[in-house]
Amino acid sequence: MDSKEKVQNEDLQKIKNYLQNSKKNIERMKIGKKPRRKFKFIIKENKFLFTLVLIIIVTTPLLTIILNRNPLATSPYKDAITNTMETFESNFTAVSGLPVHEVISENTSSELIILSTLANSILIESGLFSKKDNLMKRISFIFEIIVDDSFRDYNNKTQKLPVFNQFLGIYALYQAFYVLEDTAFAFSFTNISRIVNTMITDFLYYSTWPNLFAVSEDTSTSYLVDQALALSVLTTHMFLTGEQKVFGWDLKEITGGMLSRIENRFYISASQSFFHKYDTVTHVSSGISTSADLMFTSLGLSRTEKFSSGYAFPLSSYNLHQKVINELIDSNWLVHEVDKIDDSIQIKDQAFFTMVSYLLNLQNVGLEIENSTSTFLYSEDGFVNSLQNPIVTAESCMYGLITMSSKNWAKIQNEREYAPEPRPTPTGTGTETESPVPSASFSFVGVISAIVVIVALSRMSMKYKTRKKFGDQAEI
Amino acid sequence: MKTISVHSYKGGTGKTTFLLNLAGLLAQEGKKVLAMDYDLRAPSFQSYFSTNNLVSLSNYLLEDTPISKIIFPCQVNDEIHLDIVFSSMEFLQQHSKQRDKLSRDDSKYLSKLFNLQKLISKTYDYLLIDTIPGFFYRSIDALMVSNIILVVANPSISNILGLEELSGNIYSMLSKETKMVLLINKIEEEGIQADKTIFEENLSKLKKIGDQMFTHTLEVPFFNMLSERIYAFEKDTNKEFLDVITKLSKIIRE
Ligand SMILES: Nc1ncnc2c1ncn2[C@@H]1O[C@H](COP(=O)(O)OP(=O)(O)OP(=O)(O)O)[C@@H](O)[C@H]1O
Ligand SMILES: [Mg+2]
Repeated sequence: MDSKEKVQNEDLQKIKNYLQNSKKNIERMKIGKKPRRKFKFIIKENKFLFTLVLIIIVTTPLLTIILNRNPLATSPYKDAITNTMETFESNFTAVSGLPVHEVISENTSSELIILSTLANSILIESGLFSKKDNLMKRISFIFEIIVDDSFRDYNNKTQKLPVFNQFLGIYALYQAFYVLEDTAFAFSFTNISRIVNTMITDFLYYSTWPNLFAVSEDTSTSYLVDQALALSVLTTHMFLTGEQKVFGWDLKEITGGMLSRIENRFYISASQSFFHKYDTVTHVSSGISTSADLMFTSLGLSRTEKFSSGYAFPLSSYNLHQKVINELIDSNWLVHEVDKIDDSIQIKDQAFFTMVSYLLNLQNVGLEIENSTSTFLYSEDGFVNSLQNPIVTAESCMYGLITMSSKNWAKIQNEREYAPEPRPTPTGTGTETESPVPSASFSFVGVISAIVVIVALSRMSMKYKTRKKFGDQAEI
Repeated sequence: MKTISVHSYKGGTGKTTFLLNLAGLLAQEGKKVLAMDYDLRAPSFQSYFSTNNLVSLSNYLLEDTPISKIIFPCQVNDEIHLDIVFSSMEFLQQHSKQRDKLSRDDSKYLSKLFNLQKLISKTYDYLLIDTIPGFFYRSIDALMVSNIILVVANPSISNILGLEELSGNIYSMLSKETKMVLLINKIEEEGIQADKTIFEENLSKLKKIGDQMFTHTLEVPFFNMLSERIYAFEKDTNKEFLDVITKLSKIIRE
């Protein structure tokens, strides 16, 4: 046997050993254990760690002193958050919406699945809570209710959820995506885009084309709040993916169209106020807008102000936000539904208004609402539903958590929302705008550069090489 | 999800051609397919798709880049769900230390592959893996996690000797549940005008190995065709070749 052959055989032996070990490792991994790894590789990879351990051993006395100091409080509401989370986890095993202390039976609803996915995700993102297991549970639920790219009723999967929950569902998916990026691949932006595509075809172009109106299936009433949330989600989608088009739909055009519809059908320019709903059959607008209508409209407007949609809405997001504060928020910073003096104080409105305020970079308002919520709507068990009917439910817990984590989370969310192009000229409405991202024209080069910017967020688009016909023939 | 690897002893046997065309066909039929270029030494998926991908498999293997960032959708049309994981040659050339890491008998990469497979298993119907030809640790990883292995061999003497060696030392040691398919690809050896009798002799030797060691054997004729095409997606397609791929896809679904 010459030396070369010998070496080869040794190599072969090594390979066979590796194969044998891999077999055992696969068996280990199948039952959830880690594979056995050669020690030399572990040391090689963790040289730094080994050195560190040495240093730690040497400096232990010093470290004990440091470690014994109280950890920094990240939120004044840490206790409220921990208690609420505990209440939620111990009382609502599945996603039931029942109040605490009542019999626990399975009462799962899609609304709650979406809400708790959203709340859990932004809570983790805000850095105030780190365990992800609970969110993982939510995720398996949320997959159960997505059928053919739209959100369905948990108990009757043929039934689509109303349009508001569809869009809230998408928003929850983004947040879960960012939190679970490495573990839950199923939330690729491509998958989310598919749902967005379904929303546009099923809910916006639902009746005659081009309707650009968010109307739930089988109904003829369209609500302002639905238009507003749809507007917010579609623009946010554009910012997060850096893509102006979803499955051929031009989001900027849709945004412009929606703004125009909102103005025509909901806006009363004389009083700078809004209608609550619009009948798509009789073409009659009616109802007084609620705080939810207005705050979501304000959010939607704020997103469209980041770029040019080709349609200028007569009211700025900032002014509308101010209007909510003036007309619907009392001296205790509690959000009323239609009038500063009505007696409907709901945690839901508190939560969404905190969220919107922070997303609009209005920190002071956010802080006040956060404060009032913990003062008036928090009991020892967790957050309560409303001031009039103060019971702790799964739902109220989730809204409480959204309120508490909005501040840290909105900062992150705002940072990752890149507008596809800078706003042409600031209209001087007083909104604190974020610095615009350099313009990227949506030529191929544009797409690539936009992609470089958002590569951390989305997967890249790629085309199968298209070939020229005659080129093929020439080669054959 | 089914995992399928292609492997061979020598390079240039037709692995990538079969793998991507199979991927294309399955996707065309409505299946959700992920094709992964695990041929770290000579990646070739780039020549099938126009992309300037910045994130490749090695980023996941070496730097813990999330899986979602190395998967790229191939947008043929909205109905087709074919996603791709690339390997980048540049990456490996520039960072020779990292290339060394990837070529070791370190079980870390097996577990990375295993985890990837687990995480995507609900999202896809098929995971197709292209491998480095010959005896390489990373290829063994791919074979270990596969339900089906497509071995490609050409009727040449070096292919036969190599296949015998692989069969004796590697394939025979794999799990009994692994389905083994031999693809005898009658592509002619470059520069050699193969002598007909030798060719026939080699062919029957390959068939014999196929009968002994493999669950299925499929002969593929030489096609006067263009390389780097996914024929399922081409307008003026190569019907005969697609027929072969269809046969292959039937074997896989059995
Ligand atoms: N049956 C066939 N008839 C004609 N040409 C073929 C056939 N099979 C493969 N080829 C051609 O042979 C060449 C090599 O094929 P391919 O790149 O698929 O091989 P490979 O095994 O992936 O190579 P590598 O080891 O370099 O990755 C390609 O140009 C391909 O088009
Ligand atoms: Mg190849």
